Amino acid sequence: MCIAIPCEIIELTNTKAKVTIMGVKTIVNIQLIDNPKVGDFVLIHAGCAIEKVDKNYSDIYFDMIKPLCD
Amino acid sequence: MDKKIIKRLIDEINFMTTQTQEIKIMEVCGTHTKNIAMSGIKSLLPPNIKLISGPGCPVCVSEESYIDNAIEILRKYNVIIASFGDMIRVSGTNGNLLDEKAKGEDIRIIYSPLELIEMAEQIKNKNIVFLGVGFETTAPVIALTIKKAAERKINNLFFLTSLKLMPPILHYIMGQTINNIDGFICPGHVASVTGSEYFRFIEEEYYLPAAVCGFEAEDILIGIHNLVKQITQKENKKLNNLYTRCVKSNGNPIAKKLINEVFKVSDGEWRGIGIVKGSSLNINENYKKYDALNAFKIENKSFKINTNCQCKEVLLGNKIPKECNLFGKICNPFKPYGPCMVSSEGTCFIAYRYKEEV
Amino acid sequence: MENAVTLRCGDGGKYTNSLIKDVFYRHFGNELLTNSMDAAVFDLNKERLAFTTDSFVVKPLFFPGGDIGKLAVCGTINDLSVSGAKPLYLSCSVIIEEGFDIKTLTKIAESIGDACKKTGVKIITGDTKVVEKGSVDGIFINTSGIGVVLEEYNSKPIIDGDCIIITGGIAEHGTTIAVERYNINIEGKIQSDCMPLNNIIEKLQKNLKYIKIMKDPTRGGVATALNEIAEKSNMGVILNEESIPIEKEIKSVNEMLGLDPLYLACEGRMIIVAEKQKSKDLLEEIKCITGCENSTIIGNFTCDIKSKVLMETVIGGKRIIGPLEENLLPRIC
Repeated sequence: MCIAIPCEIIELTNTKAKVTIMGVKTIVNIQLIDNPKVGDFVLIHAGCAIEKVDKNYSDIYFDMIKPLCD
Repeated sequence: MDKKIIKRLIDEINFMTTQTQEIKIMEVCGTHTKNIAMSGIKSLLPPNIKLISGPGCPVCVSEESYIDNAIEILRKYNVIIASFGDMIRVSGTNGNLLDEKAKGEDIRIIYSPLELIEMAEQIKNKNIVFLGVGFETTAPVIALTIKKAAERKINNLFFLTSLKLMPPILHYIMGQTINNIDGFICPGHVASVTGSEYFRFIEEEYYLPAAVCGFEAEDILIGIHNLVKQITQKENKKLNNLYTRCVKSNGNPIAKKLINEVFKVSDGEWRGIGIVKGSSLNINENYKKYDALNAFKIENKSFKINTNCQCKEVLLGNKIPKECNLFGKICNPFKPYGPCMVSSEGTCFIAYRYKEEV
Repeated sequence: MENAVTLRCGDGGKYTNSLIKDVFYRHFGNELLTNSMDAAVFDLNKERLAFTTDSFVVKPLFFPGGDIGKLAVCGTINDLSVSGAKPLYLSCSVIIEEGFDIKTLTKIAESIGDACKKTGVKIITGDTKVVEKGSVDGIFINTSGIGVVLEEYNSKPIIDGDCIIITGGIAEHGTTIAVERYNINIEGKIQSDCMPLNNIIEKLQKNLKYIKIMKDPTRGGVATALNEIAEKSNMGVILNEESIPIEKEIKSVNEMLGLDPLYLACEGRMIIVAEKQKSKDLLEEIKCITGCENSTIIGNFTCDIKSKVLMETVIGGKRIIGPLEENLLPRIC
C-alpha cells in the first residue's frame, strides 16, 4: 500500500533534498525529517522523505540467522 | 539479498509446519500483497500456510460515493482533478474518472501531492481538486501539502480526502470470529510513520502474533518465519519489529504532529464493508477551507453495497478470489467490478494477473 | 514560410506542395520520392517480400533518446527486421493539427531524414493531411514498409529447449515516456532505447538458419511479446529473472513509480529464439554488434507447460507472467 524506497541525501536546502538511488537523482521534500544531513539515508514516498533509514541497523533476525548460514 | 539466508528461512518454515494444521497469515498492505506475488514466495511455502490479503489497499477500499463526489464536482464546477494513477479506474455508481477523461474532462495524474502547490500557482484561473487517498504513510505528505497551501495563501487548491487508518479495520477483522487469522504481517511503511507500537494492540488485546515487516522478499520471509515460529511453538504471542532499519517504536514525531495538526479522526466508509468507526482522517476545522466537500458544498451520498460483489469477504480474508462467482468472469482487470480487481495491488487483480491458485 | 501549419496546407494545392517541398522533401527527399506521382514504382526480382504498417501517436513528441519521427522510421524498420527482411522502402503519411508549429514539424522531418540516412532506407511515397484544431493531438504519423526477406531466414517451429535471447536492457523506452508524461523530476541515464535493428539481421546473416523466430517487444513489453510467441507456438516459456538485463537507473525509476519493467515498451531491442546448441555462440556474435553489448539468454521454451510464461524469481520461487491486461499507471501504493 505504500511504495517507498530508500535514497541517500547528496544535497540539502531548507525544505528540499537532492537524493540518489541506483544512479538516479531526484528532488524530494525533507520537511518531515528531523535534522537531516548529507549522507543520511531516507525513505521516499510520493516525493517526500517520510523517515530516516538506519544503514547501520542491527536486525535481530539477521544477527541470528546469518551465523547459521555460514 | 542473501540466497543462503532465504534458503535457510524457507527450509525452517517448511520444517516447522510439517506436523501442523493450516496456518492463516494476513498481510494488510497492498505492497506486501504485490511483492509476495512478484517474488513467488507462495510457491516456496508449504501448502498448509495460507497467506491472505487484508484491506490494505486504499484504492480498493475507496467507497463508491467518493468517486461520485469527485465526478459531481468535476461536472458542476469545471475543475481540474489531480489524482494518483490507479484511482482513475475506480468506479463510482455511474462510471469512473477514466471515462470522464475520455469525454474531455481535465484529469491529471500526479506522482507527488506536493507538485500541486506549483500547479495551483501556475494555473490561477482554475480550481484544482486533489483526490487525497491513502493510509497513514501518505497522510503526512498530504497534510504537508495542505499546510503549504495555507502558508502560501493558495485559493484554488482543494482536497477531496479518503484517508484511512489501520487499527480500526484490524479491530474489525479480529472481531469477526469466522476468520481465525493466526498472525499478521504489519505494514512497514505505515509503521515508519506511526511507530511499531501502533500495532501493539494485536498482541495485547487479541493475543495474536504480529510482525512489522519491510518489503524485500527477505523481509517478508523473515516475518513469516517469525510468525510461524510463534504460532507453532506455542510461545506467548508478541509483536516484533522486524524492520528496524526504517521503523522506530514511536515512529516519526514530526509526521505524526502534522497529521494531528491538519486532520481529525472520523468514521470512515470502506467499500464493500461499510462504516467503520474512527477509521478515517478528515480535514479539521483549522484547514476547513481546503476541504473540497466543504468548498463545493457536496453532500456526502449514502451508498448501497452491491450484493453480488464479494469484495468484503475477500478483503476480510473470509473468501479467496476464486470463491467469488464474479471473479475472472464478469469481474476482470479490463472491467473491474469491485475494488479488489481495480488496483494492481488488489487481491483479485493479483490472483488474476499472476494466475495463482489463491 | 508561415510559422504554423494552416488548414489550406492540407487542401492539396499550392500550399500543400509548398509544405511538402520545404519541410518533407528537404529532409528526406530522394529520386523515387520526388519523381513519384500517385504511387512510387520500382523494380524487384522474384523475391519473398515482407510488408508492414504502423501508426505513431506518442506523447510527448520529443523525449530523451528520440522523437516521434525517429520512432516512426525505426518502428517500421524493426518490424521488417524481426521478420528476417532487409528493409528497402517506407511510405510516410502525416495527419497534422491546424496550428502546429512549423519549426517543430521541421525538427520531426529532420529526424525522419536522419534515421533514413543512417539505415539506408528510403521514403518513396507519402501523404499529408491537415485537419481542424482538436481533430488530432498535434501530429499522427503512419509508416508502412517493404523489405526483402533474406534467403537464409525462415521462421521455424519452436522445440523444447530453444533459448530466448534479448539484445539489451529492457523497459527503457516505456520508462522514459512515463517519466516525461508524468513530469517526474529525475536526473539520470533515462532515455529511450529507440534504434533501428536492421544491422543485427545483416550481421547475423550466416546464422539466421539457427534462429526460429524474432520479435521486437514494443507495446506491452517483453512479457506480452513472449506470451504471444508462447500462445502461437503452444509452448511454454521459463524465464530466469536474474538474467533479465535492466539498467539500474531504469530499475530504480520503476520502483519509485510502482511500474513493472516487464510490461514497458522497448523500441530498440529484439527477442531472438534460437536452437539450444547454437545459442551460446550466437549470443557471442550478437554481443559484438553495436548497441547489443548487453545481450543475454533470459530463458528457454519448454513443452512442460503450454502457452504460458513462467518466471523463476531471484529467490527461487515461481510466478506466472501474463500478457498486459491494463494500462500501467504510476502507483502511490
